[in-house]
Amino acid sequence: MQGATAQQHASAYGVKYQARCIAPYVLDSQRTRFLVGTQSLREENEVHLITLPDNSSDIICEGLYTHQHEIWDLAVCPFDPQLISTVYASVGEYGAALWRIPDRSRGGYLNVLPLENVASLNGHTTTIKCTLWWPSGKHNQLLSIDSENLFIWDLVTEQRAAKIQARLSAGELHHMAGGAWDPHDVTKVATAVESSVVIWDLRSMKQSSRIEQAHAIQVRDIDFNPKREDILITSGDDSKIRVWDVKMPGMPLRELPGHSHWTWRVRYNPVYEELVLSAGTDSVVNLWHVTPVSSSSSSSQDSKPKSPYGSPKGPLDSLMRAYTEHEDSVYGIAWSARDPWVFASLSYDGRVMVDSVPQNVRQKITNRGKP
Amino acid sequence: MAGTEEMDEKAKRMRALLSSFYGEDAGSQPATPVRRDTLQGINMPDFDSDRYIQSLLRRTPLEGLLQKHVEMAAEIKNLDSDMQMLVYENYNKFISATDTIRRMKENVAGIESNMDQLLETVTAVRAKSDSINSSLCERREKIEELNGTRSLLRKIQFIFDLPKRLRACLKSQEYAKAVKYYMGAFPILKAYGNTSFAACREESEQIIDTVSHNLQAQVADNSIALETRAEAVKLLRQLQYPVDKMVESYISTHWPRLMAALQVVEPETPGLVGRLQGWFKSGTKKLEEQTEGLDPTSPRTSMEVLNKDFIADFTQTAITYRALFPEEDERLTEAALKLFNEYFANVQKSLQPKTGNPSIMELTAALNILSQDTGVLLKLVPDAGLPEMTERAIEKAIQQHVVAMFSDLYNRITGSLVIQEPASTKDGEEAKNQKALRAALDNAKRVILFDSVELLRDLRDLLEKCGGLLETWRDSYVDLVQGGFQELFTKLNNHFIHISSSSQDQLISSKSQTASQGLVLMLALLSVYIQQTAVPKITEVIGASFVGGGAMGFEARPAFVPSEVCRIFYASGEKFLHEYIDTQARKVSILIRKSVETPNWLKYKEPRDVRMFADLLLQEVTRVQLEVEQVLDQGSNRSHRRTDSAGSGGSSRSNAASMRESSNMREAGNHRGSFTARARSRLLERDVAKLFKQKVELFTKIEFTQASVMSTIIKMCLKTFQECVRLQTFNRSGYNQIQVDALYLRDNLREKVFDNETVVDSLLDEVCSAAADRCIDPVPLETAILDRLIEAKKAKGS
Repeated sequence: MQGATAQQHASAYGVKYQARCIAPYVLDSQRTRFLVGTQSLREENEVHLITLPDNSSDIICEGLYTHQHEIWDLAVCPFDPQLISTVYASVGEYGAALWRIPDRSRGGYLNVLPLENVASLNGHTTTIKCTLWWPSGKHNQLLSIDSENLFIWDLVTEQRAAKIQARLSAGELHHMAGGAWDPHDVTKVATAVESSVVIWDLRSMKQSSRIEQAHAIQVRDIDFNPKREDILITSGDDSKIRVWDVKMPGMPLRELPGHSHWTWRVRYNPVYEELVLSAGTDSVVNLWHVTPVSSSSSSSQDSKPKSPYGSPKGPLDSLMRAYTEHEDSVYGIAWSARDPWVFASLSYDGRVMVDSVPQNVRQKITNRGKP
Repeated sequence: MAGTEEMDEKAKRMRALLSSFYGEDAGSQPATPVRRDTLQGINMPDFDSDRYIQSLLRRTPLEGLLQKHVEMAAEIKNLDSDMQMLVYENYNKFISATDTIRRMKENVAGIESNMDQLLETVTAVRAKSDSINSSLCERREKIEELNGTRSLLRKIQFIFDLPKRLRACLKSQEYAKAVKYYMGAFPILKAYGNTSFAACREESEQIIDTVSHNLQAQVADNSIALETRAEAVKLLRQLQYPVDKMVESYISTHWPRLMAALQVVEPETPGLVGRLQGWFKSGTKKLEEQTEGLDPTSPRTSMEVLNKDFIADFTQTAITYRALFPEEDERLTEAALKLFNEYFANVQKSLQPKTGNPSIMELTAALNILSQDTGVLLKLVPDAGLPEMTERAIEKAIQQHVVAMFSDLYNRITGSLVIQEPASTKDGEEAKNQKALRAALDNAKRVILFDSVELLRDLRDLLEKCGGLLETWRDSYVDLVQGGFQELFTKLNNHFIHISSSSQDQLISSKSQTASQGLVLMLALLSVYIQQTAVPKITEVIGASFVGGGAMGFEARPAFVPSEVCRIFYASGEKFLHEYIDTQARKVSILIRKSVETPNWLKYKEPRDVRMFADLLLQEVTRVQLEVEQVLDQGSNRSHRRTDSAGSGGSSRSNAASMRESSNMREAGNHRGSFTARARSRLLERDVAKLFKQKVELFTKIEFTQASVMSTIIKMCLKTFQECVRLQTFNRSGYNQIQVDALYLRDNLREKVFDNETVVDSLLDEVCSAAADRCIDPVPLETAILDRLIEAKKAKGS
């Protein structure tokens, strides 16, 4: 692992305003980079491009771009790192737009440049929750989710426009709070609908399955397992973290205690599915080790059970480390796109912490991989 | 001879003198080589007389020599006379021997002629005797022949007379004689019956048949004396009558009755039980009379009934059998085994009646009766494996009894958990409800501890009273009791978890289930109670009266593992408390969420009153508090401040954050200035304290105290409030409304969190600052208006 020698100590960075969203800067083999979007109601907001050099523990701001409105969600295009999408709000009016990060060479280092608007995703009528890019590879499609609808957009970069390709209405009583696009089956999107998780089929534009009572009160976040089909992880207001098999919506495969208050975000490590990162309103970032679950549907891909430890909630599902450096609710976490041992977390007070997986956990996981 | 003796004596004397002269050494050295020149070795073969003389001459003075001379002369004279005496005596003896020999020679001379005469006489006697013998020989053979013929004739006569005699015997009922006669004649009849004695045989056989018939009748007749019947059987056996058949017929006549006696008890048992339940059956009247004054369902009664009907009958039958067929024990054993199987099946049933669990007294009494009964039976039928069966029956009965007692206890405990629930749900009045919770908790505690201890006492009594019966499997019994507790607690824990999860489900399906939530709290406390009080106490009692065990072997773990039970309940207790807090906090959180999410804050009108949700929230918190107050200790006034800032997470923002926050609030104006002066100074104080000292821990470890539970619930709710506010965007009026609500809550909640009031303050401050952050025009409400609104609200409330 390149960078395995790197920081055991957390690196900190602060943005001026309150902030909720952080995203890994993908397709970058050179550096560990993240994008942070601020959420300030009354000021002009910013998007910070920060990087963590290999030989240093100081986070450097590589680019600072202005964004008029407060940013509620931020996503980076998986094939073009210069392209990002944001969900923003201005005095209660929500909007979503695609932006191009201006070329640094033009602006020079640390010059503040505005983001270049590529296209606006107009058409939403209610609160927009998030935008989702095509999960992998180059494909000019993205999703945007508001509390009642799900839009599929075709992106025409040349014309600097986005066209509505399809629209899926979940109904007025569905209060969608977020979602995730299945990387194994691009026709599937999971959305958090109050206390349930709903899986939509994008071909038929219908609900394909549903996990009832995934969390009490509200499901806050969903993430698909990057290695196994039909496995997803959820977090919610009952502070728990649960792993589900979409094929068996009755019972969670795993349950982790989560946080002391709401568990806001939960993310699978993109390389090591055992590693799960979660963040909560109790200001803590937790690193979990979750024993892999063999998916019931995809028995063909892996005939022998990968987990020798049969029972759910086994002793190996454990909290590996709690990161308590934050002092306000943590709303954003992101694994580095380059080094799978590195991750960043963002608390509401604007503090970004870049941490790495402890050495003993790395050893445990890499040893597991070997037969 | 006398001379040598004298010499010996002299030598001894000399030696004595020498030894006295040389001191004691000489005495201790008897083996000193003899000096040649002394008189000591005079008897030795190598005594050198010349040397002796020389040395004597050399050493001894004249006087001594002279004296020695005299001595020697005397000695020589003595020796001479002795020798003369000896020679004379020898000669004398020789002469007398010669005389004797001469006399013998004279006596022997006459014997020879006498002997010849004797030989002649004997020869003559012998010749005569031979002649007599030969002459008598012929006659003797004849006599012997005649004698044989005569006895044969007598036998034939007997056989011809047999029918007559038998008939005579039959008439006089002397069967024994008849059988004797018949058996005497039997070999001949058998040998010659087909030829010369055919008629005679037939006749006598007919008579014997009659006799045998009569004998059989006698055997079957109960009224005849037992000895006679036994005699008859013996006779029949002599007659080679198949006794097996009789045994079978005997058994087949008596066994059905015995079986029936057993089965009589069986159908009556439910009847007896029935009487207790109120549907008395008339068929049991007789039995009821018998068992007047006894609890009809008790095993003792059943045992007694069994005893009366069966044991007596069986004893009688078996004794008779014994007398009649002393050689057929095996068959009796075999047949008895069948009966006993039935008997023990009944015993088993009566020991463990279907309804209710017999008291220890009853059981003990029943077991004693059983052991007595089986003692009686054992004497009658020693080989039927009775002790084993009895033991098995007792073991099984006690096992069932113990299991039943445990399940009874389990049911009582679970009953104590469930029954109060509907009652308290029905109770509309809050206070009553709370009392019900308290009462239910106390009741459940009492049931758990006292009933457990009572059960142990009962079981110990059983062990003591039936000590003899239990001897062989005492260890198993101890294991059984211990295992019973282990299982009881495991089952209880599962039951608790089941209740709590089902109440959780209820909460999801229908929103308010206060009683079942109280139940979860109660379960939490019960778990703690079991872990801290009940299990140690029970362990103590077990240790006092149920030592030993381990019948399953050393490697097997002990049947009752208190530490494991404690661990389970500790975990469960924590879990239930968490669940309780989560559920309560969630209920309040739902209220808060709705209150924050529903209004359109951007078009909010100026605040006129505290919103209703605040009252609902307070009401809910009060309800929880009432519930908690009833069953939890108040708890210490432990401060939640901490000096160690590196502790685990969940802290509100610290100095840096609040600094940043206040800088953030710069252009929002000093919104805190709108609070009353009192509040302001306190806030300032707190900010300063925050800057320099400590964080307030938001999420601490939950303890079983009112303070801890209440503050955790309230902290969770206020944190939710803050988070919900952060997701909204407010206009000025909306922000002001939040201020009003927060101020109202602050005054009312502070008294609920009595361990650390600054928690409420700081959390509500953060709610307000979050609202200010999310407000497009954060101009705080004027203090006067704020106070007036609160006053108005309070006035309305009171």
